Amino acid sequence: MRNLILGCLLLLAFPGFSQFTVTGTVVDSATNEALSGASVILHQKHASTNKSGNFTFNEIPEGRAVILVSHVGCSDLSFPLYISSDTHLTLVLSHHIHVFDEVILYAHSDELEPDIRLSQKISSKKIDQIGAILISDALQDVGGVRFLKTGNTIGKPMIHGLHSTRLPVIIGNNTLESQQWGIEHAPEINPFTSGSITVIKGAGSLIYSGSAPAGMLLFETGGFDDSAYSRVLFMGGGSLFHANSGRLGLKLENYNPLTGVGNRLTFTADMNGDVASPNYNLGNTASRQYGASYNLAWSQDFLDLSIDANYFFQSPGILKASHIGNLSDLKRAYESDTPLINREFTFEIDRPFQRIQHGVLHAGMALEMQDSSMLFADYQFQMNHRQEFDVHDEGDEVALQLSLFTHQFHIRYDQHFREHWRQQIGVNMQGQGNIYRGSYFIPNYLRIEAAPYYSLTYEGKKSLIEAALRYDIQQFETFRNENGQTKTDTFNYGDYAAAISGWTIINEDLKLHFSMGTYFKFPEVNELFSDGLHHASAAIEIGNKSLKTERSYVLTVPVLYSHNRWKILIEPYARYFNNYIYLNPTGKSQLSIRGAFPVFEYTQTDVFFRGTDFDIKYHLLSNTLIELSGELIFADDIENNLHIYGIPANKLNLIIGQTRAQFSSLENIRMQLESSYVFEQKRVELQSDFVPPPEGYFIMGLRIDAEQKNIPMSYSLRISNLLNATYRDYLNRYRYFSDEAGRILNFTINYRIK
Amino acid sequence: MKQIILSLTSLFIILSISSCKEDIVDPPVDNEQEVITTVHLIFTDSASSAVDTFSFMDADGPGGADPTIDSILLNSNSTYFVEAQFLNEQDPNDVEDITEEILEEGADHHICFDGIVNLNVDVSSDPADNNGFPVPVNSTWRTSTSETGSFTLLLKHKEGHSHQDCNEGETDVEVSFNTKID
Repeated sequence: MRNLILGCLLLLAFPGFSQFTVTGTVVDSATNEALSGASVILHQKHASTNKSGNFTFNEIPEGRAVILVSHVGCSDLSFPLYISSDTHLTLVLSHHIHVFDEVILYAHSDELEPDIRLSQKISSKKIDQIGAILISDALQDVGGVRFLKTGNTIGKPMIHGLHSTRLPVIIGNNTLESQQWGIEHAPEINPFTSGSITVIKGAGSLIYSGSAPAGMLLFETGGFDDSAYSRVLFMGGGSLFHANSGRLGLKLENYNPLTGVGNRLTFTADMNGDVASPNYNLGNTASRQYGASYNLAWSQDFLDLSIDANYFFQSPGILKASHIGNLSDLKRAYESDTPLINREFTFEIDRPFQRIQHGVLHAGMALEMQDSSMLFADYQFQMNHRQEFDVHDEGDEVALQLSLFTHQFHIRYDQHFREHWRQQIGVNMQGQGNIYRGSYFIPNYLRIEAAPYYSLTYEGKKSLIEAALRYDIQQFETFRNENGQTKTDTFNYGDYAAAISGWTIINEDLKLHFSMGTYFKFPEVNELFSDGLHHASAAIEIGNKSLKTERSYVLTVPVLYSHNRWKILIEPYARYFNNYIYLNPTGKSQLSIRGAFPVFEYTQTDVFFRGTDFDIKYHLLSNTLIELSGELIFADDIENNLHIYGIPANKLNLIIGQTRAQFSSLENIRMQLESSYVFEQKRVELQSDFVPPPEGYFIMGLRIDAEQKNIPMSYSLRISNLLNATYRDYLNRYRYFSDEAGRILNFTINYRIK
Repeated sequence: MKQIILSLTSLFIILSISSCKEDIVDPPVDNEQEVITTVHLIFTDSASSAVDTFSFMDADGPGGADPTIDSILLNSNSTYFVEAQFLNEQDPNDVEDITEEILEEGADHHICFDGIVNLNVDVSSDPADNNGFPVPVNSTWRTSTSETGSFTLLLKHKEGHSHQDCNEGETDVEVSFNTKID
């Protein structure tokens, strides 16, 4: 909906023969100028609009046909025609009014409200355009999503201070199952090979998970255009200045409407050298990423079948200076102006490093039944293989290896009834096995889960209400070798989640959303079983087998006001957690052969998160936008009257954006200058951390996207840390050891052959 | 309902997971790598040839049970040959001597006795006794006056260690011994 809105369709009919000529003009609604270079497909014939925005198809037979209009960087639009005469079409396209909102779509009602952060979508076209192969690159422009980082490569998404098992990632209609509990483990997913991402908040999340108090990230493989085509997309990119990298991507796609078969094959490869801060190289932050996927879809009248295979590979080097033996090493590293262990820039990855592989096989079915109800079934197998290579080992020796195997099954029945109503009923089932080798961190385990759910939606013209209920049961058995004997523990958990959410249009300017619900989180294996020194955090972490299920109660009431040039969103939220599971500093330390380490224990308390996101947009001119947004968040342990560790600092953003329809040989040009101020996190307990949080910082960024006229080519250029500021971020684990990266210029070129 | 769902799920899972179930339910012994659990300081009195060993032992590694640490007792105005020994005793049936490795990779390791000068002890070592490296695995200690205090044994690890500065490198061992010189 966002790019191509069919404003006006004129059919001029003439009596004629059995073959006709179809002509048309594509104009921009904002400027009334003709749009050139738009691609139009009719009856397997291809045309591009010329300088005057005109296109012509000759020898089109009488009968039904589908016309498809597309533009690089826009979603394709197609609509059916019945051709019985020579025809002229005038297509009025709204091309660049909402370009800065292009990541934003509303889940249920696209046309009603394109501009709300409650359900934001990043299309796979946008992902291609910016060449995003890391989840943190794809989501970097999405308001309200922050990242827990370990350097530049490992970024764990976070919404309102919640992450990991409290922020599920969905792929193939099931949860992504990986070693997500670790702070230095990012979701094993490559956006370029995996399709679009939608951030879902509200009751809709219960279809996939009952532990999504802050929302979830939904990955979907793209569909196919509704006409015969073959397309090849080349993506190439790289970065300069304080990072040196190169990346390539390839997407091959075809669809045949006669057989209903579509194929898509993608590859990516990415090679990064060491990243640098403004003052020094960050030794051993080089990394590699590879990805591949294959998607086969077949659709006939009432049945759609699809098979997906996806492979993810990532090998990040771990900053050499962050490898420490004990607390005195950490203090020395923190107090030093430059990293104590360093090396010259190189593309090589040294020890310590990680190697992460994730494979997904998915088979899906959608069956349309009578009364327009649908039956969906998904089976998915996931294999996650994580290896950590320590600095002391040699050759292929692995310090820690974790292999996770998961089978998943999801059935959903989806029915629309009585015009405005929709109900969905289904069940998620999952079986999982984990095997570790090397040093102990978590035990082997077998886990079986099943969760039935029901969701009911009312969708009126002026309001939508969705209510959902879900019950999860989990049986969990662990195995650990203790002195030659296998020790087994069994856990049984069961709990419910319930949510109601929706929106109502109060008047033409004001829209009120709401989402309230109660969610749970079962204790995760590391929270139950950690026992020993966690090198990454220089702390002794002790699990607690008697942890209970965590329960959360959530209320958010986002308000959207839009009037003339203004668009204002305020999203206040409150989340109360009962038995919130966290790693508590005991204040004690334990002596080891490497000196004393602080002892942290997993424990539970009652926590209150509250805050607000806001986003104020003002259209200064028809092509110039000013946007001020911010995130304020407060989290306290209300049982002990303490601050919670690791909560994002408050943040303010100011964006000035401008679009231009044409410039020289470019079109659809978008420029954006972004300034951010991140405050110092002062709401911390000093004994829960080794060093105080870093000071507040100001950084700027610049972004330019453009398309080439007449050639299906697009460019994307991003400069991060434009001022080359020296700063550290509270959410980056490397803040103990090094500054953040300096100025980086990142560019991506897309070229499409149709 | 719950029973049906659980049993259906179990059936489905058991069919699919049975292949690797053996590996899951029967895990091998943990394989901690290069963990040092024990430090012995073996003192040989140059005059009497009497041998005394003082140790720091933490067999289960960091966390778990507390370590045991001996207090060192030496005679004043004496000369001792001191041998440091580093062991991995996690598996009592397979004790690993890491000292050899430290000597082999003497260029990347360093040992210091931090605070020993406060006890009026003069420590010297000859690279010839230490595989050609200035790493005092084997050293000579000369005590003088009666003193009570402590020193910290540090084992540092860094590729191409300067052997000058004890703050340099990553800490593999940092152990304090209470010491009495009588």
